[in-house]
Amino acid sequence: MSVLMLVIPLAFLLAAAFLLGFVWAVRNGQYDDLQTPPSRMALEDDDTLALTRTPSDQPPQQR
Amino acid sequence: MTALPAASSAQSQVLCSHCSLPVPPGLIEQDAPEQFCCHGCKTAAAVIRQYNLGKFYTLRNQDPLAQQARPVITPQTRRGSQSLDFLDSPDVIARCVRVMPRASSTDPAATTHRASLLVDGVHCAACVWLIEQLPKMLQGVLSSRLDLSTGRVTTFFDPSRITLRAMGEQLATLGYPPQLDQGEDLAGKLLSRRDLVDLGVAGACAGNVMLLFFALYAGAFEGMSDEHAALLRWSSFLITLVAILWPGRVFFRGAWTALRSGLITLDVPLSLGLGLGLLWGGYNTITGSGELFFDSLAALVFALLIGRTVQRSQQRMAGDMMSRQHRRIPQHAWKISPTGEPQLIQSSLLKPGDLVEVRSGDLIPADGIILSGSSHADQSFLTGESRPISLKVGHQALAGSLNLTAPLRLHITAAGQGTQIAAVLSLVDRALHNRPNILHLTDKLATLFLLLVLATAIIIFVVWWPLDPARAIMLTVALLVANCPCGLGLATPMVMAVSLGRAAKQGILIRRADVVELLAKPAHIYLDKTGTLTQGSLAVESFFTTSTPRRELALTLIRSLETSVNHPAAAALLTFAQSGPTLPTSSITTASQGLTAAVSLTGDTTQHTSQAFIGSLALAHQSSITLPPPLSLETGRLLAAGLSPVIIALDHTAIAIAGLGDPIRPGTRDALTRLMAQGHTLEILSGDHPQVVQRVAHQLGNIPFQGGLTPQQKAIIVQAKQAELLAAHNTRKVLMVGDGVNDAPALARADVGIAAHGGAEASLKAAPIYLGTPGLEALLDLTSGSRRVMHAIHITIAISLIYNVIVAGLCIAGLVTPLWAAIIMPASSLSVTGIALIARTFIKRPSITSSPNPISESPSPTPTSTPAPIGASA
Repeated sequence: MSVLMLVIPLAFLLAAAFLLGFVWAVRNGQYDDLQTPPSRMALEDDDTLALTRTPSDQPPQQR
Repeated sequence: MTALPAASSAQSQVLCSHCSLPVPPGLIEQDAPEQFCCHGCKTAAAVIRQYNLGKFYTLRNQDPLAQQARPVITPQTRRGSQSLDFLDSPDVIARCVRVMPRASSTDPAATTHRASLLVDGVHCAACVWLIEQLPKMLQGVLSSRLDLSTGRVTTFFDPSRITLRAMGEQLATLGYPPQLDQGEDLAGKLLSRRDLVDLGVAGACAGNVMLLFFALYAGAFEGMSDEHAALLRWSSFLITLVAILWPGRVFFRGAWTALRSGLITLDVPLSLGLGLGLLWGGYNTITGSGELFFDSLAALVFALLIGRTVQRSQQRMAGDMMSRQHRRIPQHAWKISPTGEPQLIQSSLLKPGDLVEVRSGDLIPADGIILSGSSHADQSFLTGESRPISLKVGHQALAGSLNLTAPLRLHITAAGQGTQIAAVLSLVDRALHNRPNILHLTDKLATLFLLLVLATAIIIFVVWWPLDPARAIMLTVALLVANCPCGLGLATPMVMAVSLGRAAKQGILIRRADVVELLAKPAHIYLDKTGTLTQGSLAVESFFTTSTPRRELALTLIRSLETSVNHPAAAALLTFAQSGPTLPTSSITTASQGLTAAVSLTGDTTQHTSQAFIGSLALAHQSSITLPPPLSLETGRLLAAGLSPVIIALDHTAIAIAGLGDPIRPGTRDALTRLMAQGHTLEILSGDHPQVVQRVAHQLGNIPFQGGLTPQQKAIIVQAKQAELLAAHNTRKVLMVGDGVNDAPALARADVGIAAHGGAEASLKAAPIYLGTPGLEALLDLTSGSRRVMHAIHITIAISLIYNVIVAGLCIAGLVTPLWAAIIMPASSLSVTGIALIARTFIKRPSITSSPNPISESPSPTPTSTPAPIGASA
């Protein structure tokens, strides 16, 4: 019986965690450009991969 | 008489292998496997082949976006070679290059720099791919990223191996001329992020409250222990509290602003409902008895936010796309230092008294007097005059005009805010502020509706209070919540958002949704001439000779001589002459209005040298060239028709006369007729010479016109018309369509300003609408589309009214329970949203112009004798 008293608040904590994750992602700019990444995903092919794999041409991490 | 009509482009069009635009007849190379419309496309294609990046074309042909977007953004390669010198200037480098903290992984000593540039002309996945291949083309570029929505290219590079300028040049070669990155629109970005967070929070709250209420409703039917009910009620109260206080705060803020300015908007009853519902529900939660409305409240916040967010993001997108179209005032100038060396500095640092050099093809950075050089300038955006003006020593040059033919040195007389273009821009700002407020039909309907809802709520409260106070409050809240005008709050923004999106795909960018309603009704439309009704560039409109051999000879002379000059008139003549034989020429002398040269002619047996001349009438008189009677008659006719005659002479005798003018766009007359059929009244406002305007007005079917107007006068005419309509109690609105800076004050002043294709920055700033495709058919699409949008909105409002009448009836009868409210509200929202999504508003039209043949619009060879009916020049 009293297990609900524990489980329901727990469920909300979980939901709140996901919501915070979403808010973080939005504020971090993940949703700023919704146009380019989908087209880029379709394009990345073998030769671009080969290019980025060359050690001397490793691009630095973009912040 | 063998006067011949203009260019014969009726033949099948050859499309450019690179950009798919028609190739001008003069540039068609017979037997070549690939055809190019300009030098820029040819170079870009060569680079793409050189680095084996032909996949670009495959990708582009597969991508539907590339096909749709093309009319919105024309290939900028046609703009010609713009100077990229500014990319070498230290202050530019300081602004767009950052040193990255992390060094390259293999060589810790080498630093990596990050550069950010804006590019024009990107619109599809193929562009993304091509720009991100930059490391393959240039040594030292480590990676390159493109953001399609803003056109921002971010590259990481090794400064010891490559410069910013080299990257800029490569981008320009590929057809994406780089611009200085002005920094991101941080405010806009933060706003759209905030909208998204609000929406996410509201959605999460609504979903969770609904889950809890499933349990509560089930409990109400099947029985539930008090402690569990209390748990569920308390948790739903807390979540609803979050939903109303966090994302829901926008409604309270909106209601407060509206009430302070004495208006009733949707936000007012909404805030009242939300506030009352929350307080009443909170009270019931604490006392542990009575009804709660939390599920309806949370769902309401979410549903309304969806409508708002979607509409706002569409409007923001249209605004962004518009702000990418312009960039007219040059940011950099070559200042002559005291030592005589040209130095690149920011235009904002120029002040009166400075000396600057303006190279040909560059924009003039400030108003000034010409000290040396002789050139032509295109001032059409400022004056509306389509013909380039000649600039000589002592003449005044205006900021923002394009220096066409030769380098100039200027003594600056006014810079920055003191220039004429700045004065026009400040006029725009003032007009935008003083625009009369329009009360829209939807607003009026909404106000009426909202007052009704509030009145009903009061009646219910007053009637039920003596009988059962608890029930009175419940029913009042139920009415306010369930009766939420979803048709207005959700459906209208949804119809608008969907329609704005579809319009944008058609090349019509709408920045303010409220103007759509005004466009749906018959209006008085003022049309600018240059660039709106006409092509906005010079072309040969008539060509007169006395015999066919002479015509051939004249065309050969044009081909032989005019290639040596860079002038719009020369370009127009060359396009007309097309390709064909040329003659050897020598000792070419160019004057400001023409040129002479020695040409060797091959006779039947002998070869002799003759003196050829091509130039203006004035220069022909100066050079004592004789005009045979039929030709001098023709000159008079051309002048009367508002065309500029160009004399082609051999050995001081004229053999042909070309009439140069700004031809009317194909399909314009048809579009005007259909606009009039929609009930609009039309009038032409132009800064061009009244005679030229008269000719255009006459050709388009005797449309009323006013010519020779300054930007200020145009705005005054618009304002006077508005006052006149108001005085006559006529609800007809004033629309203005134009593209230049000279239209900007009128665009800002009009009830709806529409910036036409290729417009200058100022006109885009002044107008809430931008037509991305040239010609008036886009205007026709806009008015018809707006009518369909308003139709769809009226249907959704009608449906939500029916819902509301039913709910109000149930409330008055005391029958509505929270469960009913929870069912009716989403049902009404869903049905109106569905209608919003399927309504056919802006639809792709099958091309109206069956043949893009300009002959049908070209002047008749017989002299025009009937003047236009109304000819008021200011």
